[in-house]
Amino acid sequence: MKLHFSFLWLLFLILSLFSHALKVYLIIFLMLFIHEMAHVLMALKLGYQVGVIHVYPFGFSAQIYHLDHGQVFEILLILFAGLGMHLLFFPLIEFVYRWDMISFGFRDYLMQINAAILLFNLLPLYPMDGGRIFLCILRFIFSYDFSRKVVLFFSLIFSILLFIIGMWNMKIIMLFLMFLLINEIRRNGEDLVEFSYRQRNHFKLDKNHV
Amino acid sequence: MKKKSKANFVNPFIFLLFCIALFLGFKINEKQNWIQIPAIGTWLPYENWFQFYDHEVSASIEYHHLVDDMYTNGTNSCASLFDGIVLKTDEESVTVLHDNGVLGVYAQLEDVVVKGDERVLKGQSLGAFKDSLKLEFKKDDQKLSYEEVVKL
Repeated sequence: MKLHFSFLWLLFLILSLFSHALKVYLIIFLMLFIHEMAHVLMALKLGYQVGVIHVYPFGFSAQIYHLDHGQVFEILLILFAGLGMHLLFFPLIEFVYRWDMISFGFRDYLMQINAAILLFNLLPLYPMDGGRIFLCILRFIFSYDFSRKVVLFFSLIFSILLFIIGMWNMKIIMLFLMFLLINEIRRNGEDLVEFSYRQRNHFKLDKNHV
Repeated sequence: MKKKSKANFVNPFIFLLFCIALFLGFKINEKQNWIQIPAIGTWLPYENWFQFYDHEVSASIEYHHLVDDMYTNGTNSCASLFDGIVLKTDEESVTVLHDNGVLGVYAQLEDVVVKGDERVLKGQSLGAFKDSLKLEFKKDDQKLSYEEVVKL
């Protein structure tokens, strides 16, 4: 497991330092860190391998190998481990306010930021949490191949829409997402082969265990 | 086969050097004012992506001039004129660096309800005053009146 800090993250850190917003940015960063660590720890617990954890200004991205190829319930557990952290942040922020560490106005502000992070992660855009949940739901009804195609197509359309209507910082992340999505669409066939291979091996493994 | 992953963090020495360079750069820039930093609200992640806070409700913040730098707004609550970040507070004043570059001092307050380095949004209460409060504004080392500031 490696941590990789992106150049943009460093730029944001410098910006926050120069504009006296370091405290605010670090609190947001801490929320994002705990969110991602919950994903990573749950994935490790369930036996998945974790590669590089990328640190971007808008959040983290942990490379969990073959996350989509696992059992649907396992994937959902990993996804909701991260999202669930935001439900814990609400009472945590309230406690921090009651301990007089932050003011009432800042408590409201952090609650809004926390809700925004949760909402953003729930957007049905692959490869974000919401997109993966969308894929899991479709996998209950349709085949993996068909579900993946639907999710990728929908994500691409939705990200273009958000790119058009979003603010500049939203445009940057949508551009990044579009780049990722096009890459995913290009390697769709390869992914399907990997999925079939993993499924076959998984069954063999289970038999060996028995 | 499942393998246990090992954490491989950034070289702490390089990170320490980076932090020192950053701190020095920040202090020099503060004195020399070489780089104008963009407004916080435009780059801070997640703050305005979903437009959580309502500008229309707080658009009615209005202070009335009494005498010298003394103002009142018909209530006892001192509201921030714009979005910004609290630079410092003491028992009776709050200094806010607003996103439009205006440095605002809200003084002669009876009670202060914000803390240093916190983000404040337009219309948010900074404290309470009795009959009037003192407002002082500066931008690029130039003193500005309240009337000039609200036109920005």
